Amino acid sequence: MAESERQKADQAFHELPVGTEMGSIEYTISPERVERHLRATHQTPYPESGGERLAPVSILASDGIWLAEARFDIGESVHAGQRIEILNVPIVGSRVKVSGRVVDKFEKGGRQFVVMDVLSEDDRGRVLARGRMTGVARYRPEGGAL
Amino acid sequence: MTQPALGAGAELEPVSRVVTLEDMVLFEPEGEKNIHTDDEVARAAGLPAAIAAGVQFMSYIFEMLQREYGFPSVVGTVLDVRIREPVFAGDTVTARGRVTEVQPHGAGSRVSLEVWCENQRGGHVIAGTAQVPLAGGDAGGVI
Repeated sequence: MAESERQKADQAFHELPVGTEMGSIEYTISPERVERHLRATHQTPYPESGGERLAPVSILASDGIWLAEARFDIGESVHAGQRIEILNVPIVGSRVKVSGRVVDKFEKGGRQFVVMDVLSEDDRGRVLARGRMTGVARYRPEGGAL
Repeated sequence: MTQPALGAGAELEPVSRVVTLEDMVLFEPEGEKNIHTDDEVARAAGLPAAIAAGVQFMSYIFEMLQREYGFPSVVGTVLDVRIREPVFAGDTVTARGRVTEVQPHGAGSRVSLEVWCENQRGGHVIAGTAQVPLAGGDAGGVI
């Protein structure tokens, strides 16, 4: 990264208010998306429940990353930690909305870390998961596709 | 199915996988070219080669917990991990867990565990804790 870009990113990080809402992103738990995830992780599909096909809950673990990508440069991808609580199992075909906000930021080892709370809900009004993600992220105040 | 691990110190049946570049590519959105999918991009970022996404291994832990405690225990599970070491294509990653405590929780109980994924050298790739609810006879449908 060029020095001027680094200075700009540093300034943006220092000016980033804790409490900043991250906006939201949406995606569909499509059969193709589920199949891809199952193949990547070598999991077997969940049993159907109530006539509905279910997606593995691990598919939700990336939600915070997709949300962060909308507002941060996470090219370095130093993902330090994650907490996730599963509240409902995602249903194949449903639409998921992921929202979050910055709850902390800190510098360690010359890197700038951001801590985000993340919430995933589906189009049936169910909270699927909530959690907290910590990672190196360079804030882009101009934002992305929010 | 054997009895699930419920005593403090009991170890869970591990889940082990050889991580391939194909797995790493499939884990990312289709067409994505980043440090998880492309060696050149990774090298430009100062890495020796593409590294797997840390969350990929959370799925191994979820699978291990589900196998041990059954599908209804998925809802209410809490996983809290730190990502520690990079994983490269060809590495073998094994999810492991050890019960630390079982406490009454509502009509059932809640199992607390240490969980981690280790590579073939014994290094911890990710590590942390999990809590898994076990129903006490009122287990309903998952949806």
